[in-house]
Amino acid sequence: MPTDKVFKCQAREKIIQFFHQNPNTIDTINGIVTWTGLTKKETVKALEELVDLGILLAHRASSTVGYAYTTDKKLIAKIKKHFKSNKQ
Amino acid sequence: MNDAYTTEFLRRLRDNLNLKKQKEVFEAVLGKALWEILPVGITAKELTKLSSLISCNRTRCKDPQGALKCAKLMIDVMKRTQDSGLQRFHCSSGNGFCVPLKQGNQLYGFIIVSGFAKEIDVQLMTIFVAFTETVMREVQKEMELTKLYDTIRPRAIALSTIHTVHRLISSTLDSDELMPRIARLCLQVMRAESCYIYIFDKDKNKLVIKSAIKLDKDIKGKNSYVKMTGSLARVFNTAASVLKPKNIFVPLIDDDVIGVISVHNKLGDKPFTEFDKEILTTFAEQAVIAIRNAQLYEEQEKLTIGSIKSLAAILDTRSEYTYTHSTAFAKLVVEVAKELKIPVYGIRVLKYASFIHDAGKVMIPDEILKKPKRLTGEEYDIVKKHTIKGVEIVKPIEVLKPIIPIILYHHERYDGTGYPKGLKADQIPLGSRIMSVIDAFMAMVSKQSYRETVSVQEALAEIKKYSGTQFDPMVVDAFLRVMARTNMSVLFRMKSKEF
Repeated sequence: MPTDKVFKCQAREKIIQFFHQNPNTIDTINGIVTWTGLTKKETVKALEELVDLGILLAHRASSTVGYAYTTDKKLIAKIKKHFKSNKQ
Repeated sequence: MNDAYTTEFLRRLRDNLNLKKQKEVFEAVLGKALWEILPVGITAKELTKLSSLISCNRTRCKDPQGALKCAKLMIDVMKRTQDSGLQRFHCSSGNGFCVPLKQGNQLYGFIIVSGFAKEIDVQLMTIFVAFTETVMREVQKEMELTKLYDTIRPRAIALSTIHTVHRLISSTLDSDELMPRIARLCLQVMRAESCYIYIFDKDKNKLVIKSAIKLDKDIKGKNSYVKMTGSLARVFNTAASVLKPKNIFVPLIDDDVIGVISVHNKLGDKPFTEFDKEILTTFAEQAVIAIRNAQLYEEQEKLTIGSIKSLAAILDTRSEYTYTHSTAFAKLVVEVAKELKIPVYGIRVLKYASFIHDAGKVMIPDEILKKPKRLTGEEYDIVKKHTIKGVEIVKPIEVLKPIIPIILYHHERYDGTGYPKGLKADQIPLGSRIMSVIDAFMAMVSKQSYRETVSVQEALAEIKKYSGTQFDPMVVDAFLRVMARTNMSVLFRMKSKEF
């Protein structure tokens, strides 16, 4: 999915923004719901889409799943560019 | 109070909706005017801006020279306000007043209003001052809350991360799964390129690499021993962390140093900081708990397996592999269980059961057990009781309780014609269904007193033939997949200690 389309969904954009601002974070669905203010339903959907796109990594264990930000430098640069241009 | 705080305070006052409404009320009574919130000690640049605002605004002073004169007058008024409080003034642009933005002894700036056509009533100004003070308190509280939020939020997010990491690494007691998981999570939290986990091997008196990961790729060298030199040796021997621009080494401390965790090359070519070291130290504290739990669990597991093998060895002294089963048998059971994606705990229980599921045979008289001919109905009834007898043997051992259903029902048949209860399909525990297939296969390919052995291929054909009647088809399919990739000669040569 091209970067501009990724950001067309508000939930995806909010989650990416949260991880872009807090790249060291690993959090569960409930945690991400707290930090982004999104509903659980839209968070679950957006998280899995972002994992499929490689923007987030899912650390899966039997009891929980921890979501974390990508370590792909090129992808991070693209995301940074998006937020920078949006700020302007 | 610092400049940044004052700048932010004045910015928020300018944006304050209540203050804007108050301005609208004043302008409704007194007409349009120029409203400005200015800091203490106005600069030349701000003076020019102010004079241009006076000339461009809806005031009556259109002449630039006049506007500059007005601006200078306003600066004088601000100075007087600083010393004596609220001031009224008149300039060529009209009537105006200046309110100090003061709280206690702290003066932040001024609200200066000019260009009213009408005279300004003192009472009206007093109301404005009181209102401004309320708005100032409101803005201050707002700023305190923002500061609190900005301070607490990153810490709360960090705390949540630590909690998630704790949950992720506490969810397994299997070291082979745990170590790479810790390393991967560590890379994520530290935003580093590679992570190594070294654990101290007491027997060899050396550190061994338990996990080595580079951005989600395993690095070669796992389980290899390393020379204790440089930072690694220093950290291990002194239990103090080492921070370098490109590396951090942190000891894994339980009662003593049990190992070292290290990260290398921070993403974005930035150097590691003292804060990164603190994060890794917190992470290491979490990791140690999980590693120690896994180590303790493995020790307990060894103890349990040891007890089972001792029991099996006692049974074997009477007749080898009559009451117990070979390592190959247990290995096949575990492989089929893995193929069927049975959880780790279930596999462990099956492994225990595979060694002694026929222990009850010890209570069957030798003349029946070793009879070279076909058993009579009465003799077969005695043989059938071995499942119940087996349960009686393991029942007093608390740790073996989970294997009781597997032992009890491992001679049930998928079509319900087995014993002791004639259970059908899913009524039979999955472990028993697996045991039943492997038991039949091993009986066919192993030497038995009452019949000749058959080849592996013939035995597999027999298993397939009875899929859906004697055996669960799902288990048979999994077994055939396992057999397709198993080297039987290697499997049969396996020693007990290898498994």
